[in-house]
Amino acid sequence: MMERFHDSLRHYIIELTDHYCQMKLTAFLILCTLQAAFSQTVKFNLEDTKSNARSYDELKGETLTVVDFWATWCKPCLQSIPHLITLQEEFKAKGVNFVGISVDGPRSVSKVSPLSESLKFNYPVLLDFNNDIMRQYNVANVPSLAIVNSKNKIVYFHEGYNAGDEKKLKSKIEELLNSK
Amino acid sequence: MIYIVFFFSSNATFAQLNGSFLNETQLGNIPRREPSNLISNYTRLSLNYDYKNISFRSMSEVFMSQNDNTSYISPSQISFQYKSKHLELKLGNAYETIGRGNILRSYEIPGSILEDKIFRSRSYFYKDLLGGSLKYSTGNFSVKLLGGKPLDNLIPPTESISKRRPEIVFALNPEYKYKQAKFGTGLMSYSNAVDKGKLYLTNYASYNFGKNSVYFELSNQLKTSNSYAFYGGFNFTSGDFGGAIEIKDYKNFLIGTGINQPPALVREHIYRVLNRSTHVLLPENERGIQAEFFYSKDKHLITLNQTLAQNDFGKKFLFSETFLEYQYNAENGNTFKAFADYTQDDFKSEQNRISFGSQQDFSIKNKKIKAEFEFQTFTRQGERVTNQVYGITVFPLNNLTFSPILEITNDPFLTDNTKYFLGAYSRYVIKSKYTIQAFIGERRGGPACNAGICYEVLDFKGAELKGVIRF
Repeated sequence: MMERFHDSLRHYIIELTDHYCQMKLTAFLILCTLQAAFSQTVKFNLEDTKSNARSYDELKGETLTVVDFWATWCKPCLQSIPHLITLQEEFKAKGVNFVGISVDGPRSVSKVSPLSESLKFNYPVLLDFNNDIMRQYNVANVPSLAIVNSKNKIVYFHEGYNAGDEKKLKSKIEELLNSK
Repeated sequence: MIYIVFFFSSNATFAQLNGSFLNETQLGNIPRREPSNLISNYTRLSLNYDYKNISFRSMSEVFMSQNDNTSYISPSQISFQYKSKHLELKLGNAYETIGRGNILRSYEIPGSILEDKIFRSRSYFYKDLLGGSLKYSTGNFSVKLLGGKPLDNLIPPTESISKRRPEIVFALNPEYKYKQAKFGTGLMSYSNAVDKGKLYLTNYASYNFGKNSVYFELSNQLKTSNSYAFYGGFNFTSGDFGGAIEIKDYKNFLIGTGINQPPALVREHIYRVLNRSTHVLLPENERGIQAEFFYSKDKHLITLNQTLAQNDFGKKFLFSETFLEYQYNAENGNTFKAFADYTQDDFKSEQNRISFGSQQDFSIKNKKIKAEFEFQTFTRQGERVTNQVYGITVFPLNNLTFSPILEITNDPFLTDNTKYFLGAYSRYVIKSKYTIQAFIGERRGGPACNAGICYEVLDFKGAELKGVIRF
């Protein structure tokens, strides 16, 4: 069995000497080295639930913007949303805007509007029907939440929701507002 | 190499590089399959590089296994995108959907790793188009021209591109918006080794009036009278109530290897027993209706869903599901969810399928705990089948979770007696950028639906370690 594993490993190492793989590995190392120098900026255009085109620039907050990726079929998302609505109320006057991005596809997109109206979202909901924005920001799970500063840089990212996470989010927003 | 370093460094002020790295190592196999301690390792690297209006994206996969002929190294996706006010150009691997997906739909299941029982190779689960698209928009009008080879994601990267992408499509997709109405049409040519230049046409329209909207799409294969797909949806809100009612009528509308995905109109569940028993759409012949209603007041959310689907293959098969769910969010972060579901599924010969369960989040001495319980029972060919799920998640630290889970079944498709699947997950997150997840034990597979796509997950017994880095 170990021989077979070693064969696989040897095959893998031989493959690694291939020029293309060298390029990939080198690119990855460069990327790891430079990652501290970069932080992702946010820029997108999407339609809202009423088919109006909306841009990030028109929706962003003066100080911070909280972008929440969610879906109608995602239970932790529905648990977190009432807390996000409360936080939007609380921080609106301090220049913090929330933006919801639904990643629902053809199977469930028709439920986005009635569910968001029923939950009484106090922030805009955009439709990332083809998951282009989700892909652009490497969102692998919903809910995922990004805090973006006034220079459009993502300064905080959080994946998933567990009860009590809203307290962490509130502390983070306060910390970022106080650091200005 | 020097050029790459120079390119990245010289544009550091304006450009940005980001991506993710995933590695998963497994020691184990499908239960009762030899060798039981099979070692395999899957790695995926996604890189995005954005500079002004230009983006480059790539995704590479490496899989190593002791199983013969399943290991591979694959530069799975490379794409270039240019976007300006009026133009959008995509070259390479692209995701394209026309309308609601009646004639063409691309997708990916983020974070997924697909393994097939036959090939036993593991790869990312996506369906894209290798080719390109050009979209021109001005005012209320846009037109998109696209062409490429869709991926047949049942064929793993160990196989050649010609086997993985045996089809080619070209399409024209103009859209026009007038006030709150939107109209679109899509004309698509489809070819594979047997069929040359089959033509498909889809027409769709939507209208928003206040908090309500309607959407209709009718698609058909040209020069054929017996092949069509109709989808209609209406959603509405009134005070604390919201709802969506959708209808479908699909006939002979599976295109090629499944490059299209008309809306399924079947609720996607996150509860294990329901997700596993979901009805999978058969666009060859299916008609039905789905109605879902929401009521939200203060901290309460109630969801009611009624689904009816009928397949007619000489014999009629009916799928009927009634689902009710209640969710309560307390101010202190505690939550309570409960569901009940009643289903008749002729296609799977599952009669009087009753499912119920609950999930609670609560705290004991400031330590969070999540508890879940699910129960399902039905009759199949005269035999009573039951499935049970018991799970608990504890949070020893804020960013560390430990979740043992027990599934019990007497399903004769899996066991002669009662079978226990006992496993445990642990997850540790560092600074939101680094995630480590471990699994040990035995977990149950079966049909699964995620992000609107249904696929088969294999049973697994052994240990698994997964690491994800976001950068």
